[in-house]
Amino acid sequence: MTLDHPWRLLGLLILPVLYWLALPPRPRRESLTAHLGQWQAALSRIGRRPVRFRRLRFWLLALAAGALALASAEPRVGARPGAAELVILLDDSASLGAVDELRGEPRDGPGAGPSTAFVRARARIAEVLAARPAGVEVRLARCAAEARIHRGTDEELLEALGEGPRCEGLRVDLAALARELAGDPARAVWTLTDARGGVDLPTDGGLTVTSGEFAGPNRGLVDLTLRDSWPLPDLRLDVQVLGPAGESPSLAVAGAAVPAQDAVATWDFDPSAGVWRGSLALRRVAGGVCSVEIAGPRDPLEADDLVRLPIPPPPAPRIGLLAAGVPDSSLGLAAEALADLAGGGEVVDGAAGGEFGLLLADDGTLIWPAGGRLWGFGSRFVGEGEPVSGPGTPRREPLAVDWDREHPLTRGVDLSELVVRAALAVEDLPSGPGVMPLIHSTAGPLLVAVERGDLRALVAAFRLGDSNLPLLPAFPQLLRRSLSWCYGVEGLLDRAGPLDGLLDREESDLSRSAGAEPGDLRPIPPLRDPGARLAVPLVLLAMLLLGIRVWA
Amino acid sequence: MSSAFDAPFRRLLAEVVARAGSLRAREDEDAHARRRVRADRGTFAGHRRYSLGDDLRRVDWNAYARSRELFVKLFEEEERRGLVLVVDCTPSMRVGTPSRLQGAQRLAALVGAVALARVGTVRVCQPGKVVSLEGGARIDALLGALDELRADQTDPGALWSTVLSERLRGRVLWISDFADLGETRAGLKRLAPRRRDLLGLLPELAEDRLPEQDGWLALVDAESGERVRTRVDARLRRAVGLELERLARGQDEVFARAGVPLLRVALPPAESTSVAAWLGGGWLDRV
Repeated sequence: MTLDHPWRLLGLLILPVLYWLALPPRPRRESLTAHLGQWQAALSRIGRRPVRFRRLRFWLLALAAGALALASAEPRVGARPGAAELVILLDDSASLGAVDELRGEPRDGPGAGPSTAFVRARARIAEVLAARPAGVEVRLARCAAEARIHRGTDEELLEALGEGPRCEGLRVDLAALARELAGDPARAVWTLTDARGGVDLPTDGGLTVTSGEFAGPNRGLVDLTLRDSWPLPDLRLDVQVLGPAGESPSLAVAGAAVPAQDAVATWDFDPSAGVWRGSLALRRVAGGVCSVEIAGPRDPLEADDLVRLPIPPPPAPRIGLLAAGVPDSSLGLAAEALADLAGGGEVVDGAAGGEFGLLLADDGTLIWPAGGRLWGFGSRFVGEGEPVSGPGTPRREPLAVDWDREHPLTRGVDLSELVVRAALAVEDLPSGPGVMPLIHSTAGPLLVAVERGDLRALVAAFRLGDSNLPLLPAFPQLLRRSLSWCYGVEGLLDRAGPLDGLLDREESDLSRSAGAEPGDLRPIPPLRDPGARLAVPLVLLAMLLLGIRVWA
Repeated sequence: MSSAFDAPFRRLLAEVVARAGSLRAREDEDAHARRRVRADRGTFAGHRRYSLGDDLRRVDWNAYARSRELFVKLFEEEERRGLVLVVDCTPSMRVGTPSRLQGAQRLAALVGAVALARVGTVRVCQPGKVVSLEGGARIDALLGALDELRADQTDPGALWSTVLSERLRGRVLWISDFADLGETRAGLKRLAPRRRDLLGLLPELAEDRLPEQDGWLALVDAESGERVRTRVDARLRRAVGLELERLARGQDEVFARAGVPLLRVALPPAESTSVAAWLGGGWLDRV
């Protein structure tokens, strides 16, 4: 028998006090009498009992007090030494969700569903929780990309486990974590893993391996890169798919992006890596999540078959057209083209206000807006509050001689055929800080880029109708680039990164054998068993003794 | 060991003996005795050695002539007029301060001394033996025999055996507390043949009426040593008083049924040397 609070046995010191209190008063006088019978009869007549030390009553009281003192010390029987805390390190990586197969058929798990390493681990945890001694605190660490700690009742812990593992690879070093936690002798560490995904098996604490056998090959997305030309709708998906060499994978893309029209995925098998490398052109249809899933028959591990990609929404689809007079027909066509590039937008009157994906200004004199995106063709811009002077002398047939070969807008385009019949005077073009000439002529710049705070603008010194620019192959490129540049994006965006659902190759490769045979490789370190509590029976015994004492 | 008879009591006793002639019953008893002695002079009962104080007229000179020793003649009537003192020596007689036994010893001394002076023969019964005293000069021997009594006899039957086996003649004075009615009844039954000469004498203590005072009190039974602790208050005092009254009535009833008179003598304080205090109520006359 052990005592949780042995110092409370000091309560037994009350026994001498009880004995002293149980003693009858010591009379100051003692009288020898020959009439004791008469005294006793008189006492009986008036209903009194002689005062005397009642041995039985005292012993009943003493035993009751002793039982209560012992109960307060919280005695226990059957106690066992051991750890007072159990930390369960559960490999919560996606590979634990792989469905086992036995003789070609899915094996039933402990529950109604198919058998997985996770289901077996969950059942094993439930067994241990049910069998653990009372008073042993349990912490559950679900380890995948990071360790998540759960504590609570058994039901809460099992509920926290959920029905399957997280769709993540194992990035927590189980061996190091188990070693660190096992340093405290009051703590027992128990690791459950499927020994897959390149895990280093812990050498400290208990270890249970729950891996299974898989008959068929597993296909899985092991690498994925999305190249985004936002604000343009074009996307390109580069993927690596783990799978058998003989059959090329097939992808199903849905959601915020869809395969571009007539797009066909191209696949190449890399025998050294054992993966298929593929590329697919997509088109953004909306902002949100784009799911990329391996199409085809189900394989043991579904977690690596699907990756969800966040796709940013297309820019504001409204293309504003602001003309001083009759709008240039070429500018209208350009506005229509930009609206289409912006993801199915529309061309609206620029005077209507609101946010525009891009505002096209044709001729006239305008005040610089505080921000936004703007492309002016033959328009003059003045600052707010500045006096508007008359236009300078237009330049006649300025000869385009060069363009900025490094700027994102004009890099790699051919403007050698550009012919401009008339252009604004050089002094009518913006100048100063934030102004970058892009196309040069013999009489000054023909196109400048302006960056002023939140404002990004392109100012062409000529109207589209006064040039052959709409007819040049470079024009569509300029339109696309102008849209990207005005949104502050220069070049393609790689949206690869740590994507939701993308697993490590080791996690998906079920063809490799597990690092250990399944089973309890090392038992859980002994847990402290406080034993059965005797406090309540002792209290009941004390009450019984006191009850008997009432009648004694 | 202290004596029950201190010097003041001995002086008191001498005074009582000296006044024995003035006792109320003196004339009747003496006359009766003389008549009986004269009438029965020829009924010789035996001799005893002469002791100082014996009447010279009762010396058997013929015996003296034969044995050169002085003997006095005893007659049967004289034997019958002797006094037998039976003092209860059970532990219950230790009760009281001074003890009831001491009171009994003093009462027996008073009665015995007067009897020696007037009748001449007193026998003091002790368990297993009888001390016979004759003549007024044997008062010291009487006191000595009474002084030997100790309240340590647990078997009252032994005393009765002595009393009955000796076939003692004369008046039997049984001095006891009569606290145990059963024992009293048994004693009276055994002495039934002698009931005409039997007289009970109960030396009364104050506690035979009421407990002394309130407060916590440990009562110890003189016979068994049993101890009872109780708190004495007016209610208990009244109840005990009623029980003691019942006991007294029971004693009277037992003696009445046996046809034996019972005298209650309230013991005066031990230091009292007043003859009136010791002989108050004329109890000695009735003895």
